[in-house]
Amino acid sequence: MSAGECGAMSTGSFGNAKAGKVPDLSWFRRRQLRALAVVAAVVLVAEGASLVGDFSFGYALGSVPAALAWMLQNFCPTPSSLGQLGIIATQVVSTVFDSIAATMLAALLGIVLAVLGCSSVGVENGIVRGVIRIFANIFRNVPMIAWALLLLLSFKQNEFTGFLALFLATFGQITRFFLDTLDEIPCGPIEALRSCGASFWQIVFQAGLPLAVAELMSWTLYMVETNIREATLVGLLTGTGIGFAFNLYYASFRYDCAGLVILVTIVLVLVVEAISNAARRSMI
Amino acid sequence: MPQNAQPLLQVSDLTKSYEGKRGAREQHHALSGVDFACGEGELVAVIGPSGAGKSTFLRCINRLIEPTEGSVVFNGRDITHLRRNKLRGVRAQIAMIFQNYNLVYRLTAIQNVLHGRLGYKGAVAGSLGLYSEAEKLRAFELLDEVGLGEFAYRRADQLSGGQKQRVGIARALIQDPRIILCDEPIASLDPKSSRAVMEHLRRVTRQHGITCIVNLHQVDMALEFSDRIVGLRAGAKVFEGAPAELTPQMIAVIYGDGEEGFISVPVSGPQAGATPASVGMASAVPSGALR
Amino acid sequence: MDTFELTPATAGAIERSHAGHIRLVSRRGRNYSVVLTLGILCLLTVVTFVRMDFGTVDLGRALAQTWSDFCAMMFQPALDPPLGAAHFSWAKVAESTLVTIAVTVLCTIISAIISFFLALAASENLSNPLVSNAVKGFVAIIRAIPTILWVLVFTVAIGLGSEAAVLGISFHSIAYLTKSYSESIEEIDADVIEALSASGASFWQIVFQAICPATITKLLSWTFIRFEINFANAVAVGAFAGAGGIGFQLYQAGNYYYNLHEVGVIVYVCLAVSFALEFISVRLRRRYIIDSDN
Repeated sequence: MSAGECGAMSTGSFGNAKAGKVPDLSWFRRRQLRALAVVAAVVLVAEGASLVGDFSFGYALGSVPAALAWMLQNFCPTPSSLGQLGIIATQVVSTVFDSIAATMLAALLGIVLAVLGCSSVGVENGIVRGVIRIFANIFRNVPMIAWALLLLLSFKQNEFTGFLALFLATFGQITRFFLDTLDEIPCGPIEALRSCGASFWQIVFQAGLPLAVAELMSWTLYMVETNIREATLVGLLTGTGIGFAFNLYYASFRYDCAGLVILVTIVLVLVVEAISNAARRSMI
Repeated sequence: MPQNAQPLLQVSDLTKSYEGKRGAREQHHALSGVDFACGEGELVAVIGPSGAGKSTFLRCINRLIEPTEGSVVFNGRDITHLRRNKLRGVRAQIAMIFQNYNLVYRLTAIQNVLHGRLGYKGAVAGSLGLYSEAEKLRAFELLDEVGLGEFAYRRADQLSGGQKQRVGIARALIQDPRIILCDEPIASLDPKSSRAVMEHLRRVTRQHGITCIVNLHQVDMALEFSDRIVGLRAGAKVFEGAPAELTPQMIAVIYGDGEEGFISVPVSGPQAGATPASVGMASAVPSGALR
Repeated sequence: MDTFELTPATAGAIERSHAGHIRLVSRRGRNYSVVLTLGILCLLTVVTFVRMDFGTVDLGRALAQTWSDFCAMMFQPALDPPLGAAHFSWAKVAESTLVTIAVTVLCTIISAIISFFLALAASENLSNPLVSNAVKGFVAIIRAIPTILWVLVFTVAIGLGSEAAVLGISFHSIAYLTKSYSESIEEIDADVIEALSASGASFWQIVFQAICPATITKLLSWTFIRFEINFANAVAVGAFAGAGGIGFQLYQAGNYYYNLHEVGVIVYVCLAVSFALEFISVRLRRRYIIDSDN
């Protein structure tokens, strides 16, 4: 729907600019009309959504500058909040570790399922492939909060619970990414190996994985980055990691320390991104 | 070449049909009732317009495509209904060369050549890429033979098209095959490389006594290099005979009235190593996630 | 297969390992980065488990408990007694789902519009290097902050309500879309832009005549992907921002009423919406891609 907005811009101006030169006006008029319709539809949808969601555009847009100013003022770390750096660092480190471990475990399970379920090197049985796909899609779309709540009931509040929730949420996602990656590898080399008389696992290890390895690793690193952010949400519920540290200060109105948590998170994510980008570049 | 009482390859009444899009509609025949036989050390060219079923024909022989009807007898053995391991054993003796080379672009030339041995190896050794020293030396020897000895450690995507195809030939030869099926081996190559590849294939048949069945787009190449020519049109065999018997009238029959067959247009197909590496996607979601 | 004739050049090219085996990959040309990256990640995983706080619960029993809870959630979803406890009516669930979808739509529309203009400024082939780098750096920082923190910060800044949720989700969404949009725009052939600017086209003419037509399908694809992510985010923040929505009920059912059958119903509602969104986006994308051809 928001996409329609972009479409409107392109088609609309397209019509305007060329209308003068080209004799066949009806085509452009149709395009213009359609563009107008798309804009109207987007406005209507937005209006409807704000009505349903009890959302006021005026209030939201109007309050942004003041809110940002307020944030900069209150969430700015003070020298006294630096004293909390030790606690924050510990939690940040545990978040990074948990994100990596959850991703790796999910990747291990995901690659096995993806290899079996993909259309390029996967098993011949279409039903098995279909079941794997549906399984991955269901896991991917179960809200992360649901996983966290489910685990909290039996594992209680601790780091392991956070890790498990992260793992379950990552598993569906990464399996899906791996499936898509393996689906798209060129089928030629696989056909070539099949024609040599290579067996299923030989094809997987000698063609499937070598052809996809750079992208598979790229997705794994992407999931590590994403998980560091997602871990914050999980941590709010399970009382671990960055989420716990933020909530600790946020709930007790020590916004300067909460701001410090945000600052540390920014640095952490940027550093992890830089490292994994460097790793990606060297893998091509 | 004189044919033995028992030809090396005997294809009878080979038919491949696909269901129409709307199920009930009439079936589409990619191949209908093709009979074919060839002996040892022959170089047979299969010509015909695009969509005539040349590729399907080759792939039915080693059962990359399952024929709907008919039989394939290889070396006195009916292979039409072989399952798994027995099929693997037969495929190991029937090599294949492709238009797009089909090398695993991330691996080195020598690793790609050794893939030809996979049909003879156990699951674990093959999966891990553990080959015997003799196999490795043989691979080097074959790369030498196709003039790529010094390129053995190059990654496949760093080779030119002609070089890739020669690696493909070495991969086929290391199988110690009885037959090599060549699917448009020169369609993506420039004239010079094309000639080199065809000459390699001819040498293979002459020196090693290996049969080559070559799908070709270029009639001039077929006339020059083959011992026998088979013409396919709309899935049916419309010509079979020595190059000398292929008259212009016959070519017109095979290709319809167009004379596209005479023009050796190097079709630039997608290259095996052309898959773009994913640098730019950083932490964004690449198009793979769209589907 | 016992005697091998190699030319001296080839024989000289063969590399052998210390044990005398022939190498299949040259020592110099070898790319260790995949192995190295995997090794480091595995090592860190092991370290994680060693230093992990496993809590005080009996893991085996907890696992069994989780499995039975999981079964209750996935195989016996119910709102009404005997399994459910009638904390929520179906009408209430439907209404909250609509609210969450509305929040998602608003976030996506707002962030798509803003991101489009930011992406124009961030694209190297349209903008000058200084502006481009400034926007990209700014966006990278915004992106580094988790959505939930944005939402929490906005709830204290402008108060509880859907505005805080929408603004919080939008911030991260804008950063994400700006990056993706600008990458798509940067893929455009430089010649196209050059040709237009040589013929005297203004900046906006270039944008609407070259950039939009060439990138529209990609921009749409990114937007739809983000739409799905935004829905997941809207569910997640529903519990915290006081914006209501299905996320809040999920949180209540799981964290106050401890009723997994009710959680199950809400999970299935989320699944249904996600699958519907994916279905619609595939259909729309197909239509738009066909559309852009004519």
